[in-house]
Amino acid sequence: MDVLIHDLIKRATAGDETAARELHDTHYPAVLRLAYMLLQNLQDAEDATQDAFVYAFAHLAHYDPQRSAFTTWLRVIVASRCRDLQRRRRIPWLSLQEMLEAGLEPEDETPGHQPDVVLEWVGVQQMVWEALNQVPRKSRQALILRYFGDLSYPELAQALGCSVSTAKSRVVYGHQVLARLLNPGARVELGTHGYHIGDVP
Amino acid sequence: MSKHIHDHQLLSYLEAASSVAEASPVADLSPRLRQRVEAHLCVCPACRARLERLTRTATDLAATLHAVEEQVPLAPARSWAAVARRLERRRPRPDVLPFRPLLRHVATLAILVFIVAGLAGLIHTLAVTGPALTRATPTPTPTPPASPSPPPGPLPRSYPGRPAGPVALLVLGADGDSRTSVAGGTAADETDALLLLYMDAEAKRAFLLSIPRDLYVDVPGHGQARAGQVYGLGEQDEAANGLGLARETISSTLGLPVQHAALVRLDSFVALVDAIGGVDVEVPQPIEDPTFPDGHGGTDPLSIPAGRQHLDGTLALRYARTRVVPAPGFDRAFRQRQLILAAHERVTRLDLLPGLIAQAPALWSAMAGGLETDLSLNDAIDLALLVTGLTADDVATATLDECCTLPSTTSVGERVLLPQPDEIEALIENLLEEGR
Repeated sequence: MDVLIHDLIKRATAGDETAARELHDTHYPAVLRLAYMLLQNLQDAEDATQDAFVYAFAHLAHYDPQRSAFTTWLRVIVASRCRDLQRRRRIPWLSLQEMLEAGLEPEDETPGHQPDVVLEWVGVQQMVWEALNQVPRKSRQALILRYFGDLSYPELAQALGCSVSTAKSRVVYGHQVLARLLNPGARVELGTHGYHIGDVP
Repeated sequence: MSKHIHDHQLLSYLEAASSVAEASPVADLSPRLRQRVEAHLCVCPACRARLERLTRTATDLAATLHAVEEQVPLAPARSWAAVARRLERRRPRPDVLPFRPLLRHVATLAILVFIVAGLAGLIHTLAVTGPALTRATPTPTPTPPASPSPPPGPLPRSYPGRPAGPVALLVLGADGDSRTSVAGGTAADETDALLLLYMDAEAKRAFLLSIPRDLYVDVPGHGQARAGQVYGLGEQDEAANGLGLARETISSTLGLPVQHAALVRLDSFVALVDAIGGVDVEVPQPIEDPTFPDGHGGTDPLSIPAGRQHLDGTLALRYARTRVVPAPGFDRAFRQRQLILAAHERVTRLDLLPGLIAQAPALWSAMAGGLETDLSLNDAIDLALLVTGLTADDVATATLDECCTLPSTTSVGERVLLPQPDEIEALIENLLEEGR
C-alpha cells in the first residue's frame, strides 16, 4: 500500500499525469469530506479541495514520508486552505455605496453555518451535530480536525496556524462547550474551574 | 480530597488511555501525574462523571462526524478536471511568484488604509454636503432644532460612482514617524517598502507588486538612485516633491502609468488602532521585556500576559516592536502580522462598522498625520470603492526580485538591483493576465 503510494508520488513529482490523477482520486473523498466538515458549504469545500490538490501537486517535492502519512499531509493542507478561504470570505467586500444607500444598516454579518447537505439523522448524532455547530468556529474546527481528521496536536497546530498548546486549548474549550450543551442538567461548570493536579512540566 | 482535575489533564488522561492518541503521544501527562490523576479519580465521583462524559462526547463526536461524512456528495471527475486545468495554467509562468504571505499582509495593510481613508473621506463628503454640517456648528444651547434634521442620507445623487479605467497607486512605507520628519525635514526620508497597487475594476483585474528598495532606478533630474531614496530626493528638491518624484520614477521604470502615490508612516498604524478602539489579539506566551527602550535612552519595561488581550495603539506598537521571542515562531514578524490581521478584522467587522462610520471624521484626522498622499478626498473615495469591488481572489501578487533584476554594486560600493526592462515588461503582462 505504502509502496504503491510512494511510487505514485514519485511519478507524479516527475510530471506523470496519470499518477497525479490516481493520487487525486484516491484521496479526494477524504479531503472533500474534511473540507465540508470545516466549511459546511459544498461549493466552498470543493473550492478548498481543489486549492489543496493544486498546492499539494505543486509542492509534492516537499512531502516527507518520514514525517507523516500522505493522507495526513493532505489533511493539514486542506485545513489550511479552508482557513484561507474563510479569511477571504470574512473580509466583507461590501460596496460602500450600497451600504450607505441601504441607510447604514448592514445586514447580519455571517449567514451562519447552515449545512447544505441534507442529513438523515438518528437521535444522539443529531444532538451532537447541532451542539457542535454552536461551538465557536475555531474550537469547532479543532474538534473536527482532532476527531474526524485524526490529526495529532502538532499537526493540528500546523493546520490551524497556531501553537500546539493553543491547538490543545481549543479542543479542550470545544469539549467544555459541548459538555454544557449536551449535559444541561449536570454540574459541568466544574470543568471550567478545575485545578491542575501537580505541576505541568 | 485532592484538588479537582483540570480539563486539560482529563483530556490528556483520556487520550493517553484510548487509541485516539496513538498518533499523538501526550507529552504533558507524566507517569507520576497520571498516578495522581488516577488516585483522584478513585475518590472523586464528580471527576469520574466528568471523565465519563468526556469519553462519551469524544465517541459520539467521532461517530457523528463519520455519519455526516457518508452524506457528502462526491464528484471526483469534476474535481480532477478543475485541478488539472489549474496545474496546467501554473506551468508556463515561472516568473510570476507564488503567493507570498508577508506581501499579502503588507497588501492587506495598504488596502486597509485606503478603505479606511476612503470611508472617512466618504463620510467627510457626506458631512459637508449633508445636513450634518449644520449640527457641526457649535450651538451651546441644546434647543430642539426648528426643523428635525433628517438622518444621514444616502450618497448624494450627483456622486459620479466608480471611475472607469485602471488606476495605479504607489504605496510607500516609512518606518519613521511623522513628527521627526516634519520637524527635521532635512534627512532624506528612506522608504522601506514600495508597493504598487494596480486596479482595473471594470476588467476585474488587480495586482500588487512589491518593489525592492534597492532597485537602481533612473530618477528624472537626479541621475540614478535606489528606489528607497527617491522620495527623500524629491523632498529635498525645491522644484519637486517626494511623492510626485517617486510616482514618476516608478512609472517610467515599470512602463506603466501610475496615477497616485501615498506615504504611510508607522505611527499612522498606532493612530488607526486607537481610532478603531484597539485590537484584540491572542497572545500565546506572556511577554516580559524589561529593557524595552523608552525612546529617550532609558527603558520602559513591557509586560503583556498570555491569552486574549485588548491592545490600544501604543501597546500594539510596543507588542509589535519588542525583540523578545518568548517561544519559537512568536517573533516580531508573527506579531506584526497578527496585529495587521486583527486591525483588518476589526475594521471589516460589520457590527462595528456603523460605529466606525460615526467616528470616521476623527479617524480621518487621526490617519492624516501619518498618511501623506496626493489623493484628493474624491480620489480616496473612488479608490475605496474600487478596492471594495474586488475580492482577494482578484488580486495577483508578485515581487520584482531575481526574476527581473540583476544584483550589482555601484561605484560607491552600494549594493543595488539593476532592473531588466524586458523581464519587467513580461512580468507586468503576466500580472495583468493573472489577475482575471
